[in-house]
Formats: sequence, structure tokens, C-alpha cells
Amino acid sequence: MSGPGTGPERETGRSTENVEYRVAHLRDRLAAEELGELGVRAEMRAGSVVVTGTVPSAQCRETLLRTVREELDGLAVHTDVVVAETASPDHAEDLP
Amino acid sequence: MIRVAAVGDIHMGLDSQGLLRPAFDTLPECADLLLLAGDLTRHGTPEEARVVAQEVRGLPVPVVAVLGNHDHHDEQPEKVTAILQEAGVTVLEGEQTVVRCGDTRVGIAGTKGFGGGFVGRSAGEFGEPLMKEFVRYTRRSADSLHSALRELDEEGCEVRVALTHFSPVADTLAGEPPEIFPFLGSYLLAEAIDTAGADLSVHGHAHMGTEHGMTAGGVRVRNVAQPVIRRAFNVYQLHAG
Repeated sequence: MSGPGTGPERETGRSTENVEYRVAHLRDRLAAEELGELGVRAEMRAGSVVVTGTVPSAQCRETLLRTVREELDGLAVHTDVVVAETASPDHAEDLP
Repeated sequence: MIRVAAVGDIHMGLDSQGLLRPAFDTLPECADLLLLAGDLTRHGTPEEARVVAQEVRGLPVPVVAVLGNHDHHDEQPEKVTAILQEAGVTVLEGEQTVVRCGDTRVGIAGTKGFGGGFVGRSAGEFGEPLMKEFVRYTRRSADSLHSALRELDEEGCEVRVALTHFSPVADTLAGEPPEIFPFLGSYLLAEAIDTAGADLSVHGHAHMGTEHGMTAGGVRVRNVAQPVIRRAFNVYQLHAG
């Protein structure tokens, strides 16, 4: 029989709380380090951390994914990070 | 007809040189001027500013910019501004400039802007000095935008564009978490635009936002953050008079 604070519910609660802080620390690190990245979202979805956003270059994407792997090591992570598109527009918007 | 190309949040770093230039080289075929809506760099360092400067140097259309919060991060916005100016970019902060497109005088009023939020959900000038200064900073920026737009009207510009980094409206933030809207823009900017008048408002900053919006007074707003428009720039056609 579990003692106070060691039951499954408490364990689950503590684990969820820790993941939340780890996600917050990931966001801090992405902003503070070489990427200076504020535009990427990291959120909990169905037991995984989902990282989404658009970054300015392929090198930024590699750095981002490496940082995510380091910071969220051991967690289920789904990433959907794309590089900004740099093509010219194929039409203009008319504003009468 | 005036063709205004615009993009913000290009976040150039030392690995970015040449990424946008091929698209910028097509500008003379599709636009009369290029507006850069801030966050041109990642950390606001002189080295990153030089990458941006090189990317737009010698373009055959006028380039007008405001800085963004990233361009302030290294706390050298004057240096970033000087490097861009040296490359021929007109950098606005609470100022205006006039670009002549054929017979039409196009006025651009620019300021970085700042946060504070939107009506009913906004920060107030109250309490701790830091909080008051937060709101006052935005108010000064909005006041300068108002003055610059009025000045352009008095100069007889047929077309006026408000260029900011932060958003004047919540419309173009749709897609961002509502909790962070007060860090993404301020209604004070929209109030300045509506009271002074403008034909178009262009901003960046909200990467997960939406391109299209409108102020309460009916001025079209476009969020041109590169992750939003998913191109090197977008082009808006305005009609004088």
C-alpha cells in the first residue's frame, strides 16, 4: 500500500507538472540561445510535446530540433517545424 | 495604381545571406516599393544587420523599414539603423517619408510600436513605474505614428501607409494564443491610424497570426510576417484618390 504522496495519482500529477516546466524551459532556451526564437510553439497534446512553427533557415531548423531533443530527452515529442518560404508571390492583392 | 510589396520577420542571421535576394530581384517587375515590417534580424547585432543590408543593397525600388523587437535585442538599434541606412534603406521610427511613384506621392509613416493589448483587455497606465512606462512607451509610439500620418496628409500624399512591427488590431493575431495578445500589439496604434487616416496598415510580429484584418475605422490591416504570408513578400495594389 502506498503512503501519502506516493500513490499513482500523485506520481501522475508530479510527472505532468514536471513536463510543463520542461516545456517552459525549452521555450526560454530557444529564445535565449543562438536561435533567438520566439515564434515556435511547444504544447502538450495527448501525452506528447508538440513543437510547431516556422523558422528562417534550414540551419535554424536543425539547431531547433537538436535543442528540442536535448531539452525534452526521454519525452515523446512530435515536431512540425518548417523553413520559411522565400518565393516571390504569383499574384498581388488588389485593395480598391 | 501603386504596388506596395511588404514583408516582416525575415529574421536574418549569418546563415541567411542570399535567401531572399533572388525574390527581391523580381521586385521591379511587380512592385513600386518594398516595406520591411521589422524583425529583420534575430538578435539585432551589427553582423546580422549587415546581412540584411547586403540583401537589399542596390535594389531598384525604394526600401522603407521599421525595426522590430528582435532588432533591439542587442541594444544597438541605432547601429542597426545606421547599417541599413548605409545600404539605402529608409528606416522610420516615429517619422514619415514620401516615395514618388510616377505622379503619385506615397507617404509611409513608420514606428516599431509596442504592446499593451486591445480594447477591454488592455494594460493601463497605473501602478508600478515599470507598468506605467510600458503603456507610456506604446502611447508615445502611437502618438508619433499619428503625427507622421497627419504630416503626410498635410504634404498632400495621395496614398498613405502605416508601417509598424507590432499589430494595431487583434484581427491579424488570430491563430496566436489570446493570452499573449497584449504582447503582440495595441489598440493605441489603431486609434492613431483611424484618427489620422491611412489607406493601408502593414505590420509583422505575429508569426502564427492571420494576414487580413481591419481597424475599427475601416482601414485595411495586413500582417506580413514571413511565416504568415509564406512568401518572400506580398504585394498590395492601392489606388490613389
